[in-house]
Amino acid sequence: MHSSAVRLQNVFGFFTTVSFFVAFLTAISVLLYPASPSADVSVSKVKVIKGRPNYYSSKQQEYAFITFDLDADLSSLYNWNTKQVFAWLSVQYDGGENLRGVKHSENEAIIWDAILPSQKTSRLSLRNEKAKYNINDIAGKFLERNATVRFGWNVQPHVGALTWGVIEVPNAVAQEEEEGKKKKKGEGWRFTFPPVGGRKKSPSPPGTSV
Amino acid sequence: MDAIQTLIDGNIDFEGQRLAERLTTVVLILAGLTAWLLGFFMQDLKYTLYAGLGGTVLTILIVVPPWPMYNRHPVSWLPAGSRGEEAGEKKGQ
Repeated sequence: MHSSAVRLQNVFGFFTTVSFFVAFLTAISVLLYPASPSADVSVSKVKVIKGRPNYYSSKQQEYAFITFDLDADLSSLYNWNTKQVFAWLSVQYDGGENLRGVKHSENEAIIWDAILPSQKTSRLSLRNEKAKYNINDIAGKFLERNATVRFGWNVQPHVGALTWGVIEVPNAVAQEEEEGKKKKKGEGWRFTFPPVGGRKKSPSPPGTSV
Repeated sequence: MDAIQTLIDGNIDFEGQRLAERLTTVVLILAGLTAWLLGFFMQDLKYTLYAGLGGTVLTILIVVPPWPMYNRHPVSWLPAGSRGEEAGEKKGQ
């Protein structure tokens, strides 16, 4: 500490130590803010059509166009250490063991996502929102399988670890379904891929289906 | 030229070095704590950032220049040429 240069070096060196501890305290302070986000999804329309991955491709596969309602309150994810929140909706469906030609037992595809940069944007209310991404199955066919929608979130803090979470079919709703009660809200989270071109019960006039 | 060199070197005495070291530790820790608390209660990490950097600049201003308070205990050297005799005397005692 005898000369200015040594003192400057010393101050800077201890500054790095102090800033590490401040960052550490900031990172663990997130534990004081428990995350309790809520979300409610209702799939309003699903359409499956045949198409090609690109203009030149000769490969035909099915694409699902999904429209949904979403109400979510993510305000509990925001605190002084939140930089932004990433939220997404995904569709999950099994391989359908009885279905021929389907060997992938677990499928999940993201249909919509959003970056929510501040608390002002933390309450979502979407009506008849079209999925951002039209999904296609790995085997090329949806085969009228049952699917579930999941709502996922990811908090990106200024300092510290990323935190992740998923909201699936709410427990209360799942229980109601099991007990055979009315599926009032549960319908929203679950749906069945319709056959290509729409339901068989109400066949569309010839020529309109692609 | 010598004056400039002295200013850049900024030498201080031994007691001053002890004081400078202690001040570095204390002021920086206080600045860090203040910064964290300020950000936490204002719920904005910007306050932490700026308070922390401000505290560090303050510490640099306090500690780095050779302020007079760091030179209040100058080392009093023995008179030139007396070393041998005095050492001899001490050994003799």
